[in-house]
Amino acid sequence: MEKTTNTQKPSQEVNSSIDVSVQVDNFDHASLYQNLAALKPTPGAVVTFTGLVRDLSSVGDVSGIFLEHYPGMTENSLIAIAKQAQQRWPIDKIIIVHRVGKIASDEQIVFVGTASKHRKEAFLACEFIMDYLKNDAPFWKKELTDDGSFWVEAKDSDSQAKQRWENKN
Amino acid sequence: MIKIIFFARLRDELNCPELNLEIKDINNKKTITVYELLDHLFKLNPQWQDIFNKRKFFTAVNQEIVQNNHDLSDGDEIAFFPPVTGG
Repeated sequence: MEKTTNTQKPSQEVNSSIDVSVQVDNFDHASLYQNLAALKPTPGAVVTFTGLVRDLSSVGDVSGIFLEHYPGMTENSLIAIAKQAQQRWPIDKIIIVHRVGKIASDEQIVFVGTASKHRKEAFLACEFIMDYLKNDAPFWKKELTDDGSFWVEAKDSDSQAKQRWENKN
Repeated sequence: MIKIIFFARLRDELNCPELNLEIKDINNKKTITVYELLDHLFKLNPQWQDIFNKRKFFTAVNQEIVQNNHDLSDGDEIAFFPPVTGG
C-alpha cells in the first residue's frame, strides 16, 4: 500500500489525455466530471461510470469491502487499458480512479470518465475500459460481513463481457 | 536472488506473503522456468501443490503476465495471484 496515492492529485498522468489514479481516499465525482467537461476544444460528449459498494451480496449483508492491489502493475495495467481504448476510438481524455483498502458499503469504488467529440465513442470506450479493468487490472476484493470476510470469486460474466470486444476485432 | 510474491486468497491459503530464493540453490543453471520454480516450491512445501491446483492462478514476472514456461533470471520479481476482482 506504500505506493498508493492518498490525494486526488498527484495521479499518474501518462500524457494529457490519460489520467490514472489508484488511491485510498474517496474521490469527488463532480470535479472529475468538470476536468473532462472543461477540455478545450469542448468535447461534445462526456460519459462517466461510477462503481459503488453493494450492501448485499451472495454471502449476505456486507458492511464493506477490502480491496488489495499490486502497486505498480495495477497502475500500468490501467494505463495500458486506456491506451487500447484510445487506439480503438478517438477519445480526447480518459480518467480512471480506483480506490483500494477498506471501503464501506454505499461508497464509491471506481470512476471511469471518457470525453470525445461524439457520444458513441465515449459510451463504447467507457464500457470497454470497465470490461477490461474487471478482467486484467490486478485488484482483489474481499467482502466484509458479520460472519467474517470472504474473497470474491471472479465471475464468468465478466470474462464474457471482455470476450465480446475481442470478437469484434 | 529472485523475489516471489503471493497475493490475495492465494497468499492467505499459503500463509506466505513473499519469499526470496537463489536460482543456484534450485539448480546449477542461470535460469529456471516458472514450472521449475513451482516444482521446487512444492518440494519445499508439499501442501502448496494442492492449493495451486485447486484454483486458477496467474503468474507475472516483473509485473507482466507470463506463461509458466517463461524463463526466470536473477533479479526477477515473480508474482502469483488469483483471477482479479476489482471494479
